[in-house]
Amino acid sequence: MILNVFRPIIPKLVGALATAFLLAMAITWALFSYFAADESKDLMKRELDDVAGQIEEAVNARLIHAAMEARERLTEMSDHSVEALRGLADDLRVDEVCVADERGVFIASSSAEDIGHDCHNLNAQAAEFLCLLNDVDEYAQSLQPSAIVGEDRKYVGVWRPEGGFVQVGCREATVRRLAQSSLTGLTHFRHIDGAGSVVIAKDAGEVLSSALETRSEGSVLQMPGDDHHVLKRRIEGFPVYAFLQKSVGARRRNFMLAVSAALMIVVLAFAALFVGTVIARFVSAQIEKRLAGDLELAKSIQLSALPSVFPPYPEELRMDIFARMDTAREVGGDFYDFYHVGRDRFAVLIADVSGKGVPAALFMMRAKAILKSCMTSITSFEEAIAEANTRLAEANSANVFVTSWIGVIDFNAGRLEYVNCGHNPPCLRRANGFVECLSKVCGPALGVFDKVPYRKQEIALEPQDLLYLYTDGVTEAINREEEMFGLNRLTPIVAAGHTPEGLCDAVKKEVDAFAGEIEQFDDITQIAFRYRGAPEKRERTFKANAEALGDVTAFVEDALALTQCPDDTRARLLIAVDEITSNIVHHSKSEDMTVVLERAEMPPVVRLTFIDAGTKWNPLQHRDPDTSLGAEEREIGGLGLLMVKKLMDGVRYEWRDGHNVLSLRKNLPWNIQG
Amino acid sequence: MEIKKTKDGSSLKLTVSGRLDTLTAPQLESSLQLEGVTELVFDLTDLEYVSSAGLRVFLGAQKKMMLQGNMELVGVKPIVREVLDMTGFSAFFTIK
Repeated sequence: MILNVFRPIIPKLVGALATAFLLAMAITWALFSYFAADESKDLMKRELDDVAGQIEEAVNARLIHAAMEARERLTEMSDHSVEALRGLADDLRVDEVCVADERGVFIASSSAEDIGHDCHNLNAQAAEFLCLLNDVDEYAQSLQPSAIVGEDRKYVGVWRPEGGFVQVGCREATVRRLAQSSLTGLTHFRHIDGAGSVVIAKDAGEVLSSALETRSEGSVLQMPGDDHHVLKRRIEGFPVYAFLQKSVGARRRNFMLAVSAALMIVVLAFAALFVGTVIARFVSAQIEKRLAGDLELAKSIQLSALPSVFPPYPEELRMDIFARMDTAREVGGDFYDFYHVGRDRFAVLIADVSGKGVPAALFMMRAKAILKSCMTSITSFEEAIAEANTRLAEANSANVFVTSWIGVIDFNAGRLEYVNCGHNPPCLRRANGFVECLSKVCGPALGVFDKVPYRKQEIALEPQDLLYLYTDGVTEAINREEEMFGLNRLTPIVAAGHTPEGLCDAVKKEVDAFAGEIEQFDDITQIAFRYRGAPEKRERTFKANAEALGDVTAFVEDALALTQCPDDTRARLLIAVDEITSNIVHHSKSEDMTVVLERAEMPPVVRLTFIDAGTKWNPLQHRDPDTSLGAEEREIGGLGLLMVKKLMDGVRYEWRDGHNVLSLRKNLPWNIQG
Repeated sequence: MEIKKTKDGSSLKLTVSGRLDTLTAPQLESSLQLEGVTELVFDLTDLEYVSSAGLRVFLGAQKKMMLQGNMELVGVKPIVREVLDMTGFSAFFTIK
């Protein structure tokens, strides 16, 4: 049920989840790609920083060595002229050699313009070397633009034991030439992130040192393609490259992406499950609410389709009938029905549609209508059932069927004919108190196979015989021990001699007591029909004239004399006789009038029927006079009819075969037996 | 139906027994001479029942007596009382 509600939105739901997932993955991918590249570059930078330190160290060592050599050679040289120092510089293959005294003033140099300058006020670059006048033995500057010569120079200095220091300066090319042999192989096995490499090159693009093999050294540097991150830095005049395959970062990114995808799937799945559960709970609550309302409505429609006013035919004295249906919580397919089929025949039926819920209720309405239409229009009982069955079997795509028991009572013959279509056989309580079960022989349930003949069975009825019809909701009611109510518990209640109404109520009460707190799971449907036999009946036709008034009263009085009718009941009846008779005599313009008096014993009832062939006039449609008016305004007209209606227990009018037929029913007290 | 008339000056007492219906009501109506009567009493102790025809006579008498005096119903049996109640007549009859 819930799934059905969700089915249409499942594609949308999945679509939304997939979109959310892909979007999240795209953002994650972009972020991770950025982070991966950033991390790769960071690694390369750190590697380069490391290599830069090593290069500087190597280059400084090489130049310091040259400065120390110059210091040694200067102590041996007596000539510290410009030319001599230039010669020394050439010898040492450096570009400049200068000597400063203990005050920091250049006293000798390979270039004449330096001499006499004081490092204290020459420039910041020169001032750095003043540390050599104190405790520092050697000092190296990195390659940097020289303020004096206007190009990049690298200067190193060493202290002189006789005071001052010796400084050596090199151009970039010179630095390279001097230091390149120290750098060969410096970056062997230096891999970045396990895959990249650092390459130190000469200016011409020749490889000085790479991570890979010594073999590649001396070869021309091959710049990698776009699939590598490349970082270049110039350190002490040497171009240094860091290479790292982008795929390394990508591989890490992909791994992270896979992990986060898995996590996201788990999270989304849980979120979907949670939201789904919440929605399902909400929706199912809504559906249940609506469904409960619909079912309640279906149940009330179904119930209202069943005859529920008792007695249903107050003027029918030949029988006594009561039915009740106690529905289970879920709407079921039980039903009952009864109606006259012709003047002296009466049909009673009970049925149970297979299944429950609205489909069963709908099929029940159809089955009830079809049965009634067939029973009342087809004279042969068996043919009527066969026709109803065929009509139910056709267009029965849902394969619903109806178990049913249908009986027809012939009042005059005192005979019950019945057809059982797969239903529980009813009980028959005989007038002498014995209870028997009617024959179990039955045909198939209605609506199963079309064109099946149904056989009727017959049994004679005596006055006071009681027929009790029920559905399996009675016998299959269970108690806490899972026992069924069963026929053994039912039969004694039927035998107990209740009236039809009393019997149905007693059975329901017993079933309820038996079931205890176990909820009723099936409809409990019962009909009790008591055959009263042909009633005592007197009938006389009178001339509709003034004498009739006394004659009719005498006739009724005479008939009532035999019944030990109590005085006030007789008075009521006689008032009614007076009112109706005078009405017919004065207003109907009929020549004759017939009065029929019938009485039955169980329950004691008198029925008076007035038949005249006069003007068609329904007294029940006559408006009652206003009984609240004062004496001056009161008219006497219509008062008689009002009194009749109030004095009798039932009044019924019919226009039958050109006659006004007015029936009055008066119940007699129970303790009076005729 | 039998009617017994007792006249005492301006008061008239009618004792009605039996049935007051379409057949007998004209008889009661004709025995109602109300000239000069200021107190009219119907003794209904032995009245079996009354139909609308009888009520009509009572109503006529009541209308007259409202102009010239009082009218009373005495000895009303339950069934008669019931008829008077259901028709609304007990509202303007003096019943004792």
